[in-house]
Amino acid sequence: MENEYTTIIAAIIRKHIDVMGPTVALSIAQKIPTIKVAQNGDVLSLTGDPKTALVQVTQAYASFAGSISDMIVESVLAAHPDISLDE
Amino acid sequence: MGASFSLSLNKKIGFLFTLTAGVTLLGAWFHETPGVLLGTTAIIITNLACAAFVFRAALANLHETILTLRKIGWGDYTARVDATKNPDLAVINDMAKMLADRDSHITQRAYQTAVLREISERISESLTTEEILEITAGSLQKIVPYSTVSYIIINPDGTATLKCHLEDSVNKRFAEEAKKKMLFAIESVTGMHIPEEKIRTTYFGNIFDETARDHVRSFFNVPMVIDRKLVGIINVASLKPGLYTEPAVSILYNIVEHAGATIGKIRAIVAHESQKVDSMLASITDGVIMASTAGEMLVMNNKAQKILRLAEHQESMLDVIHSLYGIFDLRGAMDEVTRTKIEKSFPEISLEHAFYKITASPVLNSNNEIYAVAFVLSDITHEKEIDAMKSEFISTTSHQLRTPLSSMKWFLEMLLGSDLGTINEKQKEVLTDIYNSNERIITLVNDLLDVSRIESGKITLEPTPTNLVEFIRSMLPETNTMFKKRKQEFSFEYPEAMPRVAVDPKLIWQVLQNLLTNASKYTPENGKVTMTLSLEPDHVLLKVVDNGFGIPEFQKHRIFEKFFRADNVAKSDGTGLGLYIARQIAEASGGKLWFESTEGKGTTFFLTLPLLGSAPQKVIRPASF
Repeated sequence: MENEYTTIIAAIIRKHIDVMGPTVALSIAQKIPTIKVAQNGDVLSLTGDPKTALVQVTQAYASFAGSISDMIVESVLAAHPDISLDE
Repeated sequence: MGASFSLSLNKKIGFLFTLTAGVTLLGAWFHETPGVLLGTTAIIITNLACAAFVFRAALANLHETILTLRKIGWGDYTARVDATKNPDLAVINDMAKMLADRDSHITQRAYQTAVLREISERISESLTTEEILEITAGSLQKIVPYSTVSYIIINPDGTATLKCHLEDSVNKRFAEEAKKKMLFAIESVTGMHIPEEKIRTTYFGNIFDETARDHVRSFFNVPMVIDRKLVGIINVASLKPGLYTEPAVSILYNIVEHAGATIGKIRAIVAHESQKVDSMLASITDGVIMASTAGEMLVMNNKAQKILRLAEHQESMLDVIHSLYGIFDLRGAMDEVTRTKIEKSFPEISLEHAFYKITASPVLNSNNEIYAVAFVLSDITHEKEIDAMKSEFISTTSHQLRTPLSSMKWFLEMLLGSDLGTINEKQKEVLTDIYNSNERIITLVNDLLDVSRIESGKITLEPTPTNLVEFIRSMLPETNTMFKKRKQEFSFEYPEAMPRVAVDPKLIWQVLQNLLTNASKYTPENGKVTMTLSLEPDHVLLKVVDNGFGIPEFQKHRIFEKFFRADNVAKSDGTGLGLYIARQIAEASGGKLWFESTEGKGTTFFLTLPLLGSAPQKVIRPASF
């Protein structure tokens, strides 16, 4: 399950890199204390609750980029119907 | 940095001198040694001079520091000063950093506010996605440096419009790279691949320098989303690496997000209002067509399509014009209303056993400029049927009344002429009253018959070349009696020479008789009525001027309506049909009938008749209901 979360988080970061550009997209992701992110968007390590990390990542991007981030997250999560951001 | 070190050195020297002198002076005072005291005082004075010198140097250094800060900026100054090597500068370093941050924050806020304000101002004038991206991209220089700034708009038909501003002379490959980054972002979000041939690209600003070798070293994209749909992307790219920080980019994201949300809301409002208008248009029983002055169809409701027997897909102006071919000149009507900017009702048209009245109105914008013409097709078939029944009833009744009324008139004339025996004065008075009443009824019946004949198209013009001066003079005795009876002064003025004009003299006299009768009737005794005939370039003009009661301002627009009588003359005799009939005759004769009036001062009626003459055999029909 943790692997799936890691995959989703990495996919979200990579998509944001594609859309926003690497500097800004990585800068936002690297502020999340529970994950370590590589320059290509891969999640190198994840500590703590993976779902919390996912929520933190999505919130950080949504707070920065708004609607486009929501669209990116939705498109990534569409491929993982068993994963939800809700409590 | 040199200035800062000298400040520190001077401070240290000054402090050392002052400390030495202070200790010596204390010792001298303590031991009360006059020689030592004198010497020590001299040292202190010297030290004070040194201290003053140091203070001046410190001031000079501070001034120099401020000048340096102004020149290079707070941020750069902070970067140049290494506080770890010089702890005395830590405070000023922190202050410089704080001021630099605040300065940057204020600049960014000011930029954000300025761009949002511009967007808000322009949103009132049909702001498009392209405009927002253009405004945002165009004002980027104030916040971030760049080599190129580009924006791409995804069009609904799958094509795209790309504009790229070259701030630096980069090579074409650089611009292409920026383009690819936007296309890649679009594909990543929407899955949509836009091929090169479907992208209309414009470059502006600097020129390409194909000798340049650099490629994109730093960039970011700002996507624009409206109603949860990606509509465009701004790309900012630079030759310099690591240029774009999160705070600066964040402002652009805020602006574009805000603008996208605003446009989304406005579009929702417009769609809602449009839906209401569509529902209203669909529910009304009249056909409505609105076309731009350029000939583009703007609105056509279902009823109009049904009236014109158009299929669902036939919505163009060409379809409408074609469906009315030979029945109604839509383009001519549009041209007329566009030129005059006045609403106009056109003669009824008949389509598929139904009758329609067409009214064309100018549609004006906020600058009072016409940009469209709205046509309303009202089904008047039912009204026509009722009117035909009414005309038939009036015609039959009038005919039936006319015979006994004529008999009564004839017998009354015999009685009043003592043809049937002598009558006394009292009997004569009563019979005269009956005769006058009978005359009024005959006038009413004749007017009703005229209206009935006009509306059923039974009056046909029979123009003959007429010397109007002679003709009018020959008819005037009929009306002179009326003026004499009311002790009014009447004159007829005419030019010496006047060409013959082809008019129907009988009908024209009916018009003039009505105007003269009205002038006399609505002018007090001892008043004055003048009729003038004059020759104008393309018509003759007849004016009937009185100094009577005049027509109330608020009722002027109704004066040619059937059965209408102005409030200030309602008590006097009259049917309210005379002017209605007069105008139908005037217009059928190719002329015009109108008036100018001031209540309490008098009225002037104007009648024009074309010098070319009236069209023969023209059937008089009412211009409108």
